[in-house]
Amino acid sequence: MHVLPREAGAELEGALSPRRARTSFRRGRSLRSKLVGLALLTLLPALLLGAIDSFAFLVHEREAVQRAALVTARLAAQHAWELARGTDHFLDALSEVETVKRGAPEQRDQLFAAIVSRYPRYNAIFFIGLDGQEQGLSTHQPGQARLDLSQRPEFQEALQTRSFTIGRQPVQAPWTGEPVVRMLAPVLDEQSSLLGFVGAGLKLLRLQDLWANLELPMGTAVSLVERNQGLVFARTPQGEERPGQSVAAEVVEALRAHDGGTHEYRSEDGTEWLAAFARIEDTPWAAVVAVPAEVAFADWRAALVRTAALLLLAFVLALGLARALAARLAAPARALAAGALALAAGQLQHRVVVRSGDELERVADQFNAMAAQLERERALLEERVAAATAAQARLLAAEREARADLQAVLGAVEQGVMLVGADGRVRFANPRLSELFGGNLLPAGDRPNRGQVVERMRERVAEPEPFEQRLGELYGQPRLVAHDTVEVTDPTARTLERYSAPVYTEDGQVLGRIEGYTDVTELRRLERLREEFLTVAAHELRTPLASIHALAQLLLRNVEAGKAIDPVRLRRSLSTILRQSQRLNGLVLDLLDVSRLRQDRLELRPALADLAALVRDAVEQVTPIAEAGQHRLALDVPAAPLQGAWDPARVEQVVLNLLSNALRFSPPGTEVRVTLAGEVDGALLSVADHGQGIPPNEVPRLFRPFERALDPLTRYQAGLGLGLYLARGIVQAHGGRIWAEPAEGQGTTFYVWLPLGARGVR
Amino acid sequence: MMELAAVLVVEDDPTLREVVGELLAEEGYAVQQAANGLEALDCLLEQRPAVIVLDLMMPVMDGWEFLRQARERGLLGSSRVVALTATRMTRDSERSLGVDALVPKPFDIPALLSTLARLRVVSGQ
Repeated sequence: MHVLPREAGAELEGALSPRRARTSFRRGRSLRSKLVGLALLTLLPALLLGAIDSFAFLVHEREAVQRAALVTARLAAQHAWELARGTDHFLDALSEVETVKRGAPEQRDQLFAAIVSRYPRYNAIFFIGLDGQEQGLSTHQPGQARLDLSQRPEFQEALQTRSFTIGRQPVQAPWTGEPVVRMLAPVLDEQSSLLGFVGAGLKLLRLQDLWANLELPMGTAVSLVERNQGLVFARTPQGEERPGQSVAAEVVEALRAHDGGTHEYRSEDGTEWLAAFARIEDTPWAAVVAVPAEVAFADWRAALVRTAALLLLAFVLALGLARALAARLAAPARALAAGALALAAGQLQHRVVVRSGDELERVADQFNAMAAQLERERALLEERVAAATAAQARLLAAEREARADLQAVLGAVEQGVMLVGADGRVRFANPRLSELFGGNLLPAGDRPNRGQVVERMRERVAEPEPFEQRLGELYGQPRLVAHDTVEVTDPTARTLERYSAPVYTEDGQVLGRIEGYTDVTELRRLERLREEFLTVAAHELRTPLASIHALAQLLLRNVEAGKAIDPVRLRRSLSTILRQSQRLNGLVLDLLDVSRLRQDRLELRPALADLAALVRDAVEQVTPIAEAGQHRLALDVPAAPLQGAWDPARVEQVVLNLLSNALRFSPPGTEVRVTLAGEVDGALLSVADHGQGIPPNEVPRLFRPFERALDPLTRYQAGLGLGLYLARGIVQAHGGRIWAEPAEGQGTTFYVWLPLGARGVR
Repeated sequence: MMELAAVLVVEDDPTLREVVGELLAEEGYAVQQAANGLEALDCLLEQRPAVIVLDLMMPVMDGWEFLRQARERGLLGSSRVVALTATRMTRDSERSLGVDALVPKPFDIPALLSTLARLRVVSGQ
């Protein structure tokens, strides 16, 4: 059984389907066995005729055997008949003899004795009177009593029939004991009156001698049989006399019914016999020839065996011949069938070799051409499939690459993105999304339900109910585009902005909804920072303005009222107005500087300057503020000038900022120490206060703009909070560094390092 | 001295505090000054002014915190509060702050004075 691989089968079917056709084929035995049958069918009549002929011959042979047995029986009967006939004529002749008719018994004795001596076939000749008494006997001895035959059946039959009579029973000769048969013939006078009977005892051995001359098969017995009783009178071979015995009952039956014939029977000892019998005319006898069937039919049986063997041989020869012929005829067909199977199994390179020179060879050639065609087509098909597969693989790779790119992009963007299909299942979510919500939002498994994600989001947002409600609205209106803010509390407070919009397919169908979350925590903080800064700036600007405004109103009111103004007070008012104006101007300048710094447009006007003098001057400027706050100012500045190329005004701004900062954040009564030291290539300035100190992680914030306003610890402090930011900008513009460290004990120390030759100074 | 209505000026800027103080003193108010909310709370412990002129943005303790604590500790009593605001912040209003009047900086003297006068009448002093 050839089983095609599925693919190959499908392929083949696909390849052949356009020209599908069927060749009818019925079940059956192999072609070879059919050819064998055909050949046998051809030979069968001849075989049959041979068999019939042989059978007829055998029948004929059997009949011939039976006929031969019958002929033998008839021959045997002829012999017996001749004896009986001869005896009839002999006794008839004797009955005419005068002595016989009227002679004395002694006369007759002499006559009969003389005759017997000449006819040895008879054992005795005798005359019997009408009373059944013997009255002359060939073997009569003087003084011997006469025989009495009156009770003998043959005598009574003869008396009755007054004609020649043969004894129906064999008789044993009184002296010799040999079997004889008595025959009686009537003796008549001139008036045809019955005088008596003349008789003779015929020796049956005589008959047996005659039969012995017959050519008989081995074991054959020839018997003289009385027809009615089946009594055997004589039998050859000699020495097997069985006087008084009967032949088989069925033979007796046949004897009674037919003049002659054959009969086959089985004797009591199991031997099969062929019996032939013939009636003997003018006698009560029949001759029976019994041949053992084994002997009689020996030749026939041999012929039967021979014939059967010959027939069998003929059949076997015919069968062998038929098979050989069939094999020869079927071989091309088998090759074709094998080729077809191979082809079906996909071995398209298979070819059939048939050199029978007949139609089958042409079929094979056609088959090979077809196989070659199939092979070409398959090669073509495989080529196409390979090409298609390669193209598909390229397409797949490109698609995979594109997808990978998309994944990479979506994995790298700042936004957390989630795409939810119209079926409510999450089709895509980037890792950033979970990151923004501070924990994994996606349950294990492919394409989780949106609800599961929302459930996890809920645990982390500040207001779960409105959050979920809003999402419900968004998903209830597929075409809604919305911006929302989501506050996340767990694990850290974050502000997220959600952009949610439908996603459409190319043909405008709603594919689903995209949720994009952006972390706006810092953005919002900066917004708040700017807002707060504006508030602070407005307050800072308006405070001096309010003083100026109020004083001016007061002065104006007094002037309008014509009141005399105390010159001392007037002077004090005007100087306050002037001082507050300068303060306003300073604030505005600071703001402008911040603006320049942020645009990196801070310009320096460097010149040779003595930093020691500059620091001393600045300290002198803040002394009144220090005294007001009860601060001590300690100064550790070299007496010798510390020359460098700096923008003196800017450097003074830095020093003043540091000083006012230190004074502002120091508790009353504490010391603020200012130290200046010249180094090989620069100068190091430090301002140490004894304020409450700054946590190290807060230090970087000190130098950023607008930061102070939101500091929950410091709360509000006068000023814009831009001093350190500006100081850092100025120092960095000089190529220097500014930093802060915790002071020994308590407080903070600010350091400024400035190179001696600032950048841009020649 | 008892007939003078007491006014507590809470302002961190010394110049402005002084200007406002002098103005109100000239108008006949008994003026007390505080530099921040903390100092103002101390003043309230000693004396309940008729009117508190309160700056909101101050160091140490700002005006919002001062109001919260004063109410909490029951120090406000019948004192009326006039808040001086430098910014027009939407979050600040008479109602939200729980103050009687809002006066923006820089202020017009007549407006401030009339407000104070009105509040003095309302307070029954």
